[in-house]
Amino acid sequence: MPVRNKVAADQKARISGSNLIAFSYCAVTARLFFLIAVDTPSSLNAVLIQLLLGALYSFPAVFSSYFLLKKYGGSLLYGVSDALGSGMCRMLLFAFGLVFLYESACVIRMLTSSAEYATLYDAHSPMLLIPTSLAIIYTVLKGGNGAGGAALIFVRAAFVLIAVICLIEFRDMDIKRVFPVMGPGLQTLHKNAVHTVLYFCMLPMAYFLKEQDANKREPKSVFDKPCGIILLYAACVLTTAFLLFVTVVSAPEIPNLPESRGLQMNMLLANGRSSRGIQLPILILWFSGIFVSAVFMLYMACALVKTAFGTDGKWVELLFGAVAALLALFRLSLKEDALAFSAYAGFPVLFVITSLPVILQIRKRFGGKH
Amino acid sequence: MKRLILLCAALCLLTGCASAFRLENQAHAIAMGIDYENGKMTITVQVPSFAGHAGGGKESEGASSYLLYSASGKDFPEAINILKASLPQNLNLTHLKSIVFSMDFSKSELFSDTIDIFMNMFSLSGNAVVIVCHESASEFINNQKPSIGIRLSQIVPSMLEYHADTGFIPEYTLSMLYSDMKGVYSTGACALAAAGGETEKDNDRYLPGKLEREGKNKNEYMGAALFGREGVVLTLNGRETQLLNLLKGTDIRQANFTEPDDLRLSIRKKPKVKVDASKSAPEIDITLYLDLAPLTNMPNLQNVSEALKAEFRDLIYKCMQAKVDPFGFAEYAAMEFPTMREWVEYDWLEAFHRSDVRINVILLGEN
Repeated sequence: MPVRNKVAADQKARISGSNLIAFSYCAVTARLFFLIAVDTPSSLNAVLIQLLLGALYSFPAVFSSYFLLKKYGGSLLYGVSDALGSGMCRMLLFAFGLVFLYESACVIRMLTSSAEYATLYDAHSPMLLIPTSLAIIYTVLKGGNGAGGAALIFVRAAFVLIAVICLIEFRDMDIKRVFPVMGPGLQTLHKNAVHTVLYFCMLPMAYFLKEQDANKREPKSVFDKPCGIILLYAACVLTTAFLLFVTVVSAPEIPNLPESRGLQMNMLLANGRSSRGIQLPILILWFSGIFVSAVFMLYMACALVKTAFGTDGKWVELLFGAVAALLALFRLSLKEDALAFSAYAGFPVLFVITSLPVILQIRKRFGGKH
Repeated sequence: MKRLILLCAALCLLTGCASAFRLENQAHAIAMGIDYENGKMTITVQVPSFAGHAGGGKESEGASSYLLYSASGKDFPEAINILKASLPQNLNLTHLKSIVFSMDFSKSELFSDTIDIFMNMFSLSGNAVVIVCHESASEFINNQKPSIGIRLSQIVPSMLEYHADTGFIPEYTLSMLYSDMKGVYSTGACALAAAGGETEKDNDRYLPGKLEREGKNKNEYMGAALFGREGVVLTLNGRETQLLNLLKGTDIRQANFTEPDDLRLSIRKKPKVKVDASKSAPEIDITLYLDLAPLTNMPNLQNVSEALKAEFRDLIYKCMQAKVDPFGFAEYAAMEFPTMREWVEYDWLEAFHRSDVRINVILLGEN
């Protein structure tokens, strides 16, 4: 049995193209926004430059994925399997699964921290964590297509909510808040942009699980074509840029005081601290966005590991869900840890994905199996 | 059945009711006043008692449904601790509508640090309107009683909104104050007020406490207190505040002027501001587009324009001398700098102090 077919036969957790696209678009955009807008406040008002730098750094991985998708008829997994061989491919999937697992713990922690704000710190963290984690695990257990479908609904609702926020805030928006355009300077922006690389690389990582319909002759939409990954990447960049732009021009933050961004955010999230009309749509967007993100991370972690080991059964979801919840409970996935993780993991992941076409070419030239 | 059991079990996990607050167990402050005298800070909070029949008809009833509590200490943390310890219920500041600083406190060295503490107090509403009052903030809050209407939590915001509509006071919240004090752009301006009838009358009729008027409401709102980065550095009377609002492009709807003629001015479109910060003395060009509606006869537009120009220039000059920029010019100047560090090093307030201002007023008359 050819290597690629062997790996493909082991796939137990695939997700339809449209659901995967909606799911990853929603989760990656949300994660990028939270990282740039909240977790890296030292970018001050220059968040758009940070995003663009991060997008630039990550583009090679997206382009490499496009190359493989094009060469292997829309299946990234076949391409990787051919490039690395079955064993290495499994190891890579497992490693990516672990990356997603830790990220799911970070996002669960983010969700409980936000809930703590909303309850004015009156509710205990473990008490918030238990229902949150159960809801996430339950959604993941329902399968990728169910979660992806929910993400699709959220994407549609999100556009309406964002439009409502823009309408309410329009009079208070001020383009001058974008200036000085380089904010803290290129050095800090570069340092912060490095953190975004891991999240951009989640797009190719997610494409490993994209379902291939054997009977499908013509792609349903442009996103089903190999160039879909580039379009998806562009959509994530544009949507995040728009959200960041709205955030910068509307919120009365203090550009030279990084911690003020968190302060404004907790005022918006906390019960009774803000009487601004945007509080409700922000709350819905915020919690739904993080929830979808958390489900995506956990789903990807489980699905990648299942694909790597060819296993099935709900124990993977239950085990990984419990691990992620415990990591969050024992405060091992706090903001600082998440930032350190993204800084260390981002470029290795980028390097591996970008190297795949090169490895493939080398294997071809020197007689590797394909 | 299995699902029903699961759902029932899940109910136990809902945390919403775990530490429920009963209304009677909370002291919801709707106004807070801070005084500073002889090295001692006094905090006063106004709390609805939920016991009286507010607006029931008798004069005393509305007033009696609001209670005042106060406590003193060497600084804010100490005073608030004592206040919390002495209150019969848990002090809740999430519904705070207004926060009143006495002039002495807002000029004191404790002011900036106290604002820091406010913003980091998790339960304090950042949307509370900031007011600086002459004399005692405690007395000001004590005078705050529902004269028209029933609930102060509704009356105070709508009253402030009305005053802001006339242009006599600026609208300003606690989070805006924090942003302006800790920021590197323009500085802020809040409403100036006084417990009326206490101060000596002088020639300036547009200052709180000096208005020639009668009425049941004792407190007067008129003018603006301008903040620097540390506290209040300058006050403006009501007329100057109207001009400030026009310069900032604030949409004031009932700005009636009696000088140079009886007229109403409103913003036609946002002022056009150009700041050239390439020189050590920045050049500021302002063009104001105003709609003029005569209240009696149509005045000579040229004369009004010239008179307004002179007044705007005087106001800007006054602020330049005090090194405050409540007009928002800093935001335009910052556009010329590539990074925040260069902008901060430029030291806008110092540069603004020696800037060269040119102002142009374009009036469009309405008959």
